Amino acid sequence: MAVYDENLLKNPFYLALEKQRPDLCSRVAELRGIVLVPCRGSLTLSAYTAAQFETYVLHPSGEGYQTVDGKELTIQDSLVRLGLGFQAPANVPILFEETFYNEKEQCYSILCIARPIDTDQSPVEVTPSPAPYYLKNVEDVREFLGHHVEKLDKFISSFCQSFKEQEKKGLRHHIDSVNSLYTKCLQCLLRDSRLKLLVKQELQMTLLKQAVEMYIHHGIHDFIFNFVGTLEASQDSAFNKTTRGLQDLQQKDFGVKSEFSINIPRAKRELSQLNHCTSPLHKLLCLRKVSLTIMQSPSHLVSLESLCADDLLSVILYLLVKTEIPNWMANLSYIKNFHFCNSTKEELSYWLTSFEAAVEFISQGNFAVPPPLLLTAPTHITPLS
Amino acid sequence: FTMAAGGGAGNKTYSFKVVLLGEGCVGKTSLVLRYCENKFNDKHITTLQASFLTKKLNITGKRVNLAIWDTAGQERFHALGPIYYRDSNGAILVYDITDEDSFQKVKNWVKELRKMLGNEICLCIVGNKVDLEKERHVSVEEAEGYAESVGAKHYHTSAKLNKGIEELFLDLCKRMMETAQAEERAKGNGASQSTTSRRGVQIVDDDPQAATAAGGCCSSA
Repeated sequence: MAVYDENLLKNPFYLALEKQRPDLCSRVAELRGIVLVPCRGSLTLSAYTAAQFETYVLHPSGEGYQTVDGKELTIQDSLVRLGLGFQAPANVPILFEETFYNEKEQCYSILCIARPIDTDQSPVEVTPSPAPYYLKNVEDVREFLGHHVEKLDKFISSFCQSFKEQEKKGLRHHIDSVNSLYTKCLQCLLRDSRLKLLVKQELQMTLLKQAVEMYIHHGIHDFIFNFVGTLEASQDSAFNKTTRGLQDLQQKDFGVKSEFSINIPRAKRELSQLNHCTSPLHKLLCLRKVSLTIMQSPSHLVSLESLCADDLLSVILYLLVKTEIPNWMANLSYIKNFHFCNSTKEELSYWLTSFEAAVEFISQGNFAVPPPLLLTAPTHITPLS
Repeated sequence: FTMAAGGGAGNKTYSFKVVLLGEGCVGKTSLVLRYCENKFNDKHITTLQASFLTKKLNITGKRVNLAIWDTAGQERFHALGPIYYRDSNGAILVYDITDEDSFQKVKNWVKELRKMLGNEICLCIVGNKVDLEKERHVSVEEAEGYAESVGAKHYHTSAKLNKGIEELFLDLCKRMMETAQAEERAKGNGASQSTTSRRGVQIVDDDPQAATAAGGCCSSA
């Protein structure tokens, strides 16, 4: 997963705005206004007139916004919708929002947008999209890497050959050797001059790293995942024993709020894909999909209360017990030890943590097994008074 | 390593993880939803998802990516805390000013966080619902005094009136930036130990408040 990002303080348009129209900059800060800044790749002009910038500084007006030069626009669904005063109505995607605080602690927002709005459609290549970019499966990865996969295949096959001799070594050894395989492959690809040029864009670099990681893991999956599975086998069987004992529990026993029930069948289907994913990153994307499915609002009519960690955790607990994944410990260990381009502070890490927490909760034996007594007890007891 | 390298030399982007703690009814989710509310995207939001939220800030030229993690707050999930806290740079502990119990809970979490993460984590204790000032059950003096005694900062907010929230986050970000810069300096001075032991090393601190809170708690080796 990768999202578009750029440092707006280095964006040529924004730098020109600061230099040519300091008056607009201080005005926007005083009024807590909004500045629109076209993303770096969409800029075709090398010079701007002072008046041009007035189309890019907004203040709220009625239902929407008005630019300093009196044009009207609205902002909705992550789109800037151009209205009265613009040459033609058009929708321009917002790539991201960044909240700025200046020396005086004044605050304003910059919306980085996909293209300029004061000219007609700019004739640039493809404009970036605000949605995260993914490599959904191995086919995506192959397409992204193109003929470069041949180079990777060589490294992978020599890894697989030597793995058989190293099989007896410990987890640490295998983490290091997979890591060095990854580094070798990445370095090899980056010697290619066209790739080198492409990865100057941060987004492309992130995607390349992820593609290499996924491709390698796909190639060596059987060896590594089996190895981890063997290490975790006894833990997994203990966990499965615990979950088997909980089969009779109902959603309410897990604390699942009724409004989330409707999403559970779909979330279960998504989760059942986990063991079809070969790389840690794909497994993480699967856990993300499950989490997002759980939190989806069932219809536009129902407004759910805000969903917090407790709600999510309760549903995950239920899913862990009711979905056939016989190797949770192996999956968690594989994801944590063999995912390379990770940061513990990003979104995927949050979803992983929620699953880890749920697995831990069940392992600790927090659900009391219903006492067998209940089976023989009459269902309705009239109190003796 | 962070993936957001801020596009080249010089300017790095800070990535901070902030955990959110508080009992169910103190309004912690409304608080973060207020803060992260994407005015420009509410049609697309599937639910008011408040478990994981992000915000991009730029504070006098320095970029900050903030990731706000809600943590499981129900009593039954208490033991899971450490799974959520690890690697966090900041914690926001929310109580309801009309609910004495919720303030006691905050005290428990503070102890646990200090034990797990030492003094490197920036703590914010937040008295929410100041719109209900008349029903206040936790006195301002007590709350502020307690915060000071544990090296935390205290804030008053109202998610309902959108009061005090932005100040809270801005202040927290600045403190986390200072902590990160101090850590970088320490590394630069050749005082660098392996990252796993950095918590032990950081006790040499020139912040008097942090020093008082350091009471023997290095159990996490």
